[in-house]
Amino acid sequence: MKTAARFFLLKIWAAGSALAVLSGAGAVVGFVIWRGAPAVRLSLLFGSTPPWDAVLGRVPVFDGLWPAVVGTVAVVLLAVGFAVPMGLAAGIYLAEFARGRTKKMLSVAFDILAGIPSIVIGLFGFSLSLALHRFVSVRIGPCLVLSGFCLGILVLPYLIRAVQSALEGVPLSLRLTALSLGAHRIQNLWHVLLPSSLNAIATGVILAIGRCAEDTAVILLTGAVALAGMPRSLLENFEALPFYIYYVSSQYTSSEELERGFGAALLLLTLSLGLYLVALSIRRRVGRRAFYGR
Amino acid sequence: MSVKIRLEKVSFRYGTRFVFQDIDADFHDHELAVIVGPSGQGKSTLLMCVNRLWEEIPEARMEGKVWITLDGRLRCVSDPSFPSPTLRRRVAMVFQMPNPLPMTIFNNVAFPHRIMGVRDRSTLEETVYTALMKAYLWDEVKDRLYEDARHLSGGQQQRLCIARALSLDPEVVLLDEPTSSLDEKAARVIENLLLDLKRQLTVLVVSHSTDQVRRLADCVFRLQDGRLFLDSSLSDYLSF
Repeated sequence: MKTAARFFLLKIWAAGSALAVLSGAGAVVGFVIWRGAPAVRLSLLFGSTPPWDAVLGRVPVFDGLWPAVVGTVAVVLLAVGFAVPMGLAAGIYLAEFARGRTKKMLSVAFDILAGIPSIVIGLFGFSLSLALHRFVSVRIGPCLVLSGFCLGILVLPYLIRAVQSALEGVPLSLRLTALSLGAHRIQNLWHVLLPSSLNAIATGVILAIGRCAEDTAVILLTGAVALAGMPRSLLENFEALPFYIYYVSSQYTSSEELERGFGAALLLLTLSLGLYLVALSIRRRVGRRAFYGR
Repeated sequence: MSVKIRLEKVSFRYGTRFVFQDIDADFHDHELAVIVGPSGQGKSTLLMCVNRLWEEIPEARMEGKVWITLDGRLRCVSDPSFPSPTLRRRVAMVFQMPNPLPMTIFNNVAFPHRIMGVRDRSTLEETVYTALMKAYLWDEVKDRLYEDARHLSGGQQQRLCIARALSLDPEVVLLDEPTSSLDEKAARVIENLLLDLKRQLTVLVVSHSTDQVRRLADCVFRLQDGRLFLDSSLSDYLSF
């Protein structure tokens, strides 16, 4: 009886915790929708500019969030484009090639990197921009590509760990199959290990996308500004939704402005969902091709 | 009969734990040798010494030499200069649990050929057909070649793995308790297949079942306490 009661308590506790997380997240999303929905109109995105002209970049948008949306997507793509190839390679190295002390030391290093607060990474990016400004070209300062690079560094350790644990999670029997059929280690990696850990890797990438889209501290110090218009080049300042939300929430002057802030939060949530769905469909397609292709 | 595989002072350890030491043994052409012995004594490991699959397991170390007659002469295949992919194509292996790759039936059998660079569709189709015929599987799967191989029954999956191994035209086949996860009927199909196979090649089987040993074995080796003995009591198995 005692064991049964304990087991029951454990179950209640586990289910309750799961429910608490779910309802917490639900409450936040619900609150954002409740406060943000009234602000969501075309004018929130495009202000007084005709939407098509804004989308095609023919007319600049001064009082809408469209440039911030484009800036966010651009900085996320840059960050992921930088971090995914590197994270994949480093994760493969850790799981498949590094042994003994090298592996231990690298693992510790990546864990430390994962623990660095994003504001410190932002400061690193800022210092980097100062150094580049001084020693490379006076044109370089805080800018889009620098923000992408620093966000990439921010999510790199998570990606590396995701790839590593996905590869290490491939059961030994599957790992040995292709090798026992005369495959080289690289062929085994390419044809068996990577396809079968694709789901776990893709989950890591999706989480990384979310992290890049929401982080404010890094872009605050490396290139995001309140008013920049559409990003014109990689070497210029840009607008981003999380920065706008932070800016409005700390310095709003009217209830309309606050409402626009909530609208921006809702936009950011939608954008994250959109990126998530894109990643999901890529995962599904690549996954099918990896196993059933040809 | 000529020697096909020769083990010479083969020792094996995982980290600091020795599994077996100084094993000497000869296996002959067209012979079906069964390796028996208590669990955890390294029977599977011994098979992995023959095709050098142990090299893929961290912390594993083998000492000694393994010789195999290839193209008419005895060659030291345990030497690192002998390419392991070449060795594994000529010494095929079938595992205890059926291990189809997560792809279609056709692609499973075509896989080892594709990674060797075979691209021609009709060549691949011919290879798949021949291999599935050899493993008595063609009739059962000919209408569903493009289904996920993992949807086959356990016995069919194991025959698929055997077909895949045979598709490379190996000279030696290593089987690690190939029927232990199957029911009696599926096991008998595979046993008959093995008896067929030994006419063309050398077969090494790890087995736990006395009945199976009696039905299959030309000779029995016992791996126990880190040593390999040629079991002189084969007659014991036969007299059951």
